[in-house]
Amino acid sequence: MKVDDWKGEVHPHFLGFVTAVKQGKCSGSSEITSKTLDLLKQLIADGEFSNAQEMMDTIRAHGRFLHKALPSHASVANMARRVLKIVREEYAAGSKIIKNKAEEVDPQESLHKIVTSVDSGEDYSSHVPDLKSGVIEHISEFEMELETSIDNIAQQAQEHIHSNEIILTLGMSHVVESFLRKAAAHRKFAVIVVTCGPMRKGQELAVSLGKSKINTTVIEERAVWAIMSRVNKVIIGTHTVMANGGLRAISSCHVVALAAKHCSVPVIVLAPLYKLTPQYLCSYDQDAFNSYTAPDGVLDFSDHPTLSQIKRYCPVFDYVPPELITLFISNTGGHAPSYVYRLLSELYHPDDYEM
Amino acid sequence: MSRGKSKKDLDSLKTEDVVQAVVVADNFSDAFVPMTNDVPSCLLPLVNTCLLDHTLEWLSNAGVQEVFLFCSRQVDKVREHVRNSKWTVETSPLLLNIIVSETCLTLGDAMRDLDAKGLIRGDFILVMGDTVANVNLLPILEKHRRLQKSDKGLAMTVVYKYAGPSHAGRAPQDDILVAVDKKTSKILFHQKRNAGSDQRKVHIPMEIIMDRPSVDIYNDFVDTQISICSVSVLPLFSDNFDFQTREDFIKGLLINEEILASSLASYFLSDREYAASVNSWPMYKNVTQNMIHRWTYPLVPDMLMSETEKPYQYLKGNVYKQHPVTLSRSSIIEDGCVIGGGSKVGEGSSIIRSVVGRNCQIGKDVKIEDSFIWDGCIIEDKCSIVKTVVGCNCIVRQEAILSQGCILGQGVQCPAKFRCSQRLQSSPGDEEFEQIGESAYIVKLDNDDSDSDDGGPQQIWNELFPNEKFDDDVDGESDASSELSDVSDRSLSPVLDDTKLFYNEVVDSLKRGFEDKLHCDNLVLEINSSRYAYNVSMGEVNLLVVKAILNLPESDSFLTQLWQMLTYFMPILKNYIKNPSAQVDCLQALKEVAGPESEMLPGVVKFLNILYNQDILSEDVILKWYSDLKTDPESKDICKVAAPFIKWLEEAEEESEDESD
Repeated sequence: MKVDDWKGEVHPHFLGFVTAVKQGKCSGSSEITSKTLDLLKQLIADGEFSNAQEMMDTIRAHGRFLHKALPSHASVANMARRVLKIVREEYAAGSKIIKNKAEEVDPQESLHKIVTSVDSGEDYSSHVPDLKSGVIEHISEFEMELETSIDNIAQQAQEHIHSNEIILTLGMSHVVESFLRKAAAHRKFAVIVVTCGPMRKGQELAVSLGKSKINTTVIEERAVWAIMSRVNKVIIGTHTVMANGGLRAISSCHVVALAAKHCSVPVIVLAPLYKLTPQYLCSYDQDAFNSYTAPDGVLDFSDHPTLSQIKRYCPVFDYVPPELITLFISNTGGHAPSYVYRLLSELYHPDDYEM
Repeated sequence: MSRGKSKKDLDSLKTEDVVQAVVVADNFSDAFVPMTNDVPSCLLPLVNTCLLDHTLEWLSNAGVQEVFLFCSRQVDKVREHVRNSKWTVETSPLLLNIIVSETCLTLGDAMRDLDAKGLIRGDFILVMGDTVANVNLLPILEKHRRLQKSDKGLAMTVVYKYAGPSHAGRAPQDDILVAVDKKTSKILFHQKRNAGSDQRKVHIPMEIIMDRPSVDIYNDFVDTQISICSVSVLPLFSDNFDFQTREDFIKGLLINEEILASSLASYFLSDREYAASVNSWPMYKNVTQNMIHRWTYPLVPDMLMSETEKPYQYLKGNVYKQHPVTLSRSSIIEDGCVIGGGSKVGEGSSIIRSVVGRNCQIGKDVKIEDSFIWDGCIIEDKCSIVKTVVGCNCIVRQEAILSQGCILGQGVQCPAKFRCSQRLQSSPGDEEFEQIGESAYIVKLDNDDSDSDDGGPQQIWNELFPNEKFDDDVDGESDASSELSDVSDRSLSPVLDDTKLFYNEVVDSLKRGFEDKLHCDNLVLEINSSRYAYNVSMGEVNLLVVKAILNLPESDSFLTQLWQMLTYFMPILKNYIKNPSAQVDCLQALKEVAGPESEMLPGVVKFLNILYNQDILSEDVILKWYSDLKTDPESKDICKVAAPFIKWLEEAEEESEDESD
């Protein structure tokens, strides 16, 4: 599979999708994720594959293309990994049916079986009937899971937010928004929203929370340290969860997490499972890890005498190390940062970690 | 039923609402010679992507659905480029039509041609094919339509972008002065300001201010060359065949507003929006820097623009690298650089504030600063390239030094150890040329040609990096001092087209007048009429007339001829040199003509003496001029020559003072 030579190999819809994301026509991680899954499903439905290996190669090539073209959107590659895992599972189930024919297949794999079984996963070339329809059906199930993931997280709100607590959050996150709303239906508590310059998305969140009658205060980043001692919990969303349990989240998250650590305030991160990526942060890769927008939020274009003298950066993300995080809440429940590796091995096949 | 109707309404709305844009592929000037010798200006690369692609990318982002690409030169190249681009693929968000008319020489011709073809159905957006922007056009279009409702004659909305007088996003020749009615955002006054004319004086007709409650006057905006046009624009161009440029159109409409029953509106972009037209080398440099510093976001190199291209990686210090780049360990890349894919940089080389194209080979210990190196160049060891543009597929041999506004056309082979700060091209031109190596010729730009304003290397350097002066005296020098330095730099600054034309005309008039013994009053009339024709300021007129007289005599028996002419032209001088500031101009001209090895030098004393005796020059002005001269190291010779006369003047003054005592 020649991946370097993208033209002709890549489905034109993928090109359009990449352009749309880059131009900001398609934004928000849940939208991008479901779009990606849609495209991959379409790819499988349209393609002609003689065996699972071919199907996986195509998916992998497209996944790699998306990963290279949108390096800061980790969830895109995650979707390709999930689909690959689905193909593997369907293939295993299908070939088992062929092998055992009449035999009853035990749906539960016992530990003994897992340990003793010879890894047949290396070879995906034999023909499995109905593989395609099986995979598509499985993907549809997964789509359902994606759609409900935000609700599933919000369902757990009551277990984490108690009456008369002061919650600090930052920026604009749909998960956090629905989480707080759900809790507000039963409990009374106050929310402090950090605006998160230069985009100041926090104001959006504050407006929406205010509309649902939640006691909301908006503060600037510089006030975080002063106010942290009064806060009971920090609840934030994130862009990505790295393999070590660290976060790639909107800039100024690191400051908030450090302040919380100092004041021993628990930091709770709401992250649907599709945000878990098997990537690690390399220290030399800090800049590829981040992404930068126009500096106009930091400095006006009209500040002309200074323009040639100053280097301006407007990073979008912060890296938050795992030791600053108390708990992850995913659609399947709460997890400690040290448990992320286990979740990863459940979600993705180790061979797919490297796209 | 009602639902069906509303759907129909929606459909009709949709067909009406197709946003159309006209992109003019050529800039109808030779600002980019020799790069544009065989490539149209819209295909020149800016940060390794051609200008046309930047423009189309922006238009598709900005909500435009249909584009008419108007080509007049090298149509095949544009066609081929478009055919290989993503804009002709089925999934392309733009419907791209190419219109060809090879006879067009100006924007006006293009507009007339479009009118004749009758392709445009409604309001359209007119942009040049060299625009880099991230503006959303829909709000501007909406505002245009809203204003149209209240003002039926609205022909065009001109889009301006803020850039203060010394702003990096502004080229000196683009200085404009705009007056706008605050309430209706109608343009009342729009004038290009000549750098040569007196910057401190502005003439605005009283009637503009008289009948309106509030008028805004701006000099800190630049014209982005983007305009929203009503359908009436095309017929207006057809009816007025003397409209050649967009500038002509705006000027003509403002002057004849009543007759043409058309008006102009303005739109000022906010600070968050970026737009610029790359129509000269200074703008090329500015826009490149702005793009590297991400003001044009999302039009930045690391946002994949073309599907056939590998993506760029964005690194610390605004450095962009395209895969695969080979950098040696000891190479230094910093402070805003772009390196194209397939390029190699050797040991010990440094690249600062520069753009390197694809597949370039850069040797060891090469220094590249503030330069633009296009695709496929080979730079051999120990070269130094500063403030230079190197065209595609050039070869620069070992230890060559290119500096200060040097421009190498496509395919130039620069010999080893060569020093250059001029424009070079790979093939001999039609006219005289100077060969300096195998396929390397110095470009001779015809000085009489009105379109070119390039003389010596100094001027090109000024042209490419006009802000250099600003960078140098950042250390707290006040505005006043920089203004002063501007005045003394007058001899260095590039002479503008109009003043140059005016000067030639004055020389012609005087020569003819002297030969045919015409009356001086008639000559003054002639000079005055050319002055109005070229819109030259009074100070420039004084300077240039004196200069013309001093340059008139033939080289043999220079001085005898000069004295004859001087006595003959005395009435003209008396007419122009009336007040102290005119006298300063006159002496400035003398200083410029009497260079170190000129034939004027020995005649300086006599010249001063004659004018002094005729009461044209006053004592004070001469003494002031002399004291200024003494501080200027470049005019040592003239200082030495003039010394005896000054001494005499001073003595005469003392004597007269003694007498009065």
